Amino acid sequence: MKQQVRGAIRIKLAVAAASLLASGGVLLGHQSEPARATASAAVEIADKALTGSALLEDEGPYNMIDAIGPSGITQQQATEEVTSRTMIGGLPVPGGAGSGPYGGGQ
Amino acid sequence: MKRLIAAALIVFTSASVAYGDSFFHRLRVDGLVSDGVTLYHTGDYQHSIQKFDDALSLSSGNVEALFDRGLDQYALGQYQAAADDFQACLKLQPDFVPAQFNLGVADIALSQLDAAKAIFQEIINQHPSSVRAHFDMGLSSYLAGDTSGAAAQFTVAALLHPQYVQAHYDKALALYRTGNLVAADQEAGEALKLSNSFAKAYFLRGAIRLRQGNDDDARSQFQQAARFSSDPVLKSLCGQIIAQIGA
Repeated sequence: MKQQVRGAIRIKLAVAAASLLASGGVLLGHQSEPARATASAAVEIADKALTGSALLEDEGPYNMIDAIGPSGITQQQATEEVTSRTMIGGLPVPGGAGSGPYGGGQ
Repeated sequence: MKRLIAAALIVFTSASVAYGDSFFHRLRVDGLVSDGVTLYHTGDYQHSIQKFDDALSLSSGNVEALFDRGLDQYALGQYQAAADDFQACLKLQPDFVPAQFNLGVADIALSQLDAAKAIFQEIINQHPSSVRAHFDMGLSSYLAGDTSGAAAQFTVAALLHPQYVQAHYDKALALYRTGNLVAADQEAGEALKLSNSFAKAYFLRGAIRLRQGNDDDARSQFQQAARFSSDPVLKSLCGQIIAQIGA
């Protein structure tokens, strides 16, 4: 699963990089373009990578509330995981193995 | 008197048999769910699903088995099946917040972002301090293209739980997308204070520096990103960018 997710992210990034190079580089549109209106290829490559969802971070293995019942947590504990003002059970590691469709892998 | 005692005995025996059946039935279902959860935790999702299927064949309304099977389905990338299981949980137990939350996460995976946002908003309405609901509302908004809305949700998540490094980073990313480079830089810095080997945060800060015209620092940030990244594609992107910046 981890490999599948990481593979998907790599494909997304690779597609982003490839399409950028193939296009000859078109500066991505931003609602409010920052001060330096550079069209350098470096900015284009970085922007392209940052525009999609590939570099978004999710909660990795903490995406879902954990299993309930015997050998798992109680329904009350599961509810508290959702409603708590902190991440119960520890914080996910940045770039850690994502079990979701995006995020994870850095 | 004898008849009365005999009748009482019959009633007692019948009740005991019925209770025994129910007890052993429950024990069997619990055993299957327990095995399923253990298999889920070891990553053996297919066999885990089989256990939950068996439990549900004995007790079709078992919320735990439905919920846990949904986790297996999600882990296998079968997002619609996962959503179906969480919805089935909610039909049986409409106020079961964990099933509601997990349904929202499955909806994100299915790109049903409006549905996901509606779910997280409902959780936020009932539990305004839910860091997870705010974070996932941020993810939903970001993926829906609402980067300002996403930044606002990640801000709340980071305020609720200041050590939540992903909330800081995603906020920085959303702010970058809105063009607010100063705030994005500050937030990326917060993420790096919490995790100084966070490759994506270095990458983002490199992009910010590039846009600010600070090529030297940008190069340094991309070098750090390449150094800490375990992803060859991200490393390659860093290499391309560094080459474009030049010496």
